[in-house]
Amino acid sequence: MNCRDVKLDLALLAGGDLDDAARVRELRRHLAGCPDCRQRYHSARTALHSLRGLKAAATTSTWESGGSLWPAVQRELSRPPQPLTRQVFRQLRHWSPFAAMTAACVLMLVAITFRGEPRAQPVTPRGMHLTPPATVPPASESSRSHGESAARPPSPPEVQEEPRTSPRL
Amino acid sequence: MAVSRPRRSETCLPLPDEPSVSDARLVDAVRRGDRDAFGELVQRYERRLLGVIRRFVDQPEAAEDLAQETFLRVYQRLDQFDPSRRFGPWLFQIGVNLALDWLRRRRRRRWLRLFTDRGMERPPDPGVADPRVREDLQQEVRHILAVIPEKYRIVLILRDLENFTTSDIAAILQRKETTIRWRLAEARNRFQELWERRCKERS
Repeated sequence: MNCRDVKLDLALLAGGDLDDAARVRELRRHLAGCPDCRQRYHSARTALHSLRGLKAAATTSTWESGGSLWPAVQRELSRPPQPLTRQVFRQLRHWSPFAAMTAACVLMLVAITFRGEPRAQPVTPRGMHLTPPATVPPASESSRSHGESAARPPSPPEVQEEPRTSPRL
Repeated sequence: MAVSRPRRSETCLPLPDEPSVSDARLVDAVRRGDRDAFGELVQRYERRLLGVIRRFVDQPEAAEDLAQETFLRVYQRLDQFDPSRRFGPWLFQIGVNLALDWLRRRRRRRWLRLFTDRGMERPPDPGVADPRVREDLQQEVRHILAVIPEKYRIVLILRDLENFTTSDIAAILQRKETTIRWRLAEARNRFQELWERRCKERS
C-alpha cells in the first residue's frame, strides 16, 4: 500500500465513513509507519472538525420563531389550479432575456450578411436588344454535325439597329 | 469546540421523533384523498427539510418558499411516487433539486447583471487574503464551501453538516453509493486543502 492509495480513504476514515473493517486495519497499520500520512490524517480531522462546527450556527433559522409550513401549504393546495398558459408563461419568463439576446444576435447576423452584397442585374443599353442567330441549320444537318457545332463557340448575337422615328434633317 | 455526532444508525432517514404511523401508510392515506395525512408528513419533515435548504440558500425567506414549494410538488407528484422506495429521500431529492435550481437561476441573474453597474459582487477567493481580519471561523468555513464545486459541495453538506448517511445521499442524488463515497472523499480533501491554505495565510 502506497501513500497515494491511502489519500482518498484517509478522508473517509477521518469522518468515520469506512465500513470495511479490514481496510480500516490496513490503513491504521500504514499510518503507524508513515509520518507523512499520519500528519495528513490529523490535518483531515482538524479540517473536518472546523467544517462540522458550522452546524450549530446555521440551524438557528428564523423559521424556529415562526410556525409550521403546513397552513401555508394547505392554503396553496386549496387554491384552484392555474391555467396551463399562465404556468407556461411563468416558466418562460426566466428565459426571456436569453431569447431577446439571441433574437438580437440573429438580426445583427442577418444584417451583416446581406448588407455588403452587390446587386447583380442585367443591363441592356437603351435602344438595343438581343436577337436570336439569323441562320438556323436544318434539323437533319444540325443532328449530323451536332458534335462539331457543340465544339464551336456560340456566335455573337447580331445587333439590329432600331429604325429611326425622328425625321432626318 | 467538539461537536457530538450521532451514530450512523441514528442518522438514517426518517429522522422525525419516533413516528407512530409509518411514512408509507401516510402516503397511502394521502393518495386516497386524506389531506390531513399530508399535513402529518409536512410537520414530520419540514424542520429537517428547511435546515437542508438553508444550507444551500442563504436567504431565509427564499428557503421557506422553497420548502413550501417542495411540499406542493410532492403532493402533486405523489401518484408518481414508487411505494417500494422510501418517502424521505424522495422528498429531499425534490427539495435539494429545487434549491440547486434556485442557486443556478441566481447565478444566471448575476451573470446578466454584469452588464449593469450593480452586479459587482464576486465570490470570495480563498487564495487571496481577506481584508476582514476579524472574520470569524464560521464565515471562513462558509467562504471555503462556496468555492468548492457544486457536485462535491452537495455531498459535503448533506453528509458532514446534515448527517445523512451515504446511502441516503445516494438515494437523494440518484447516484450509486460508491460514487457518493468517492465524491465525499474528494470533497473533504478539497476542503482540507483550502482550509489549510487559509490557515497559513492567517498565521
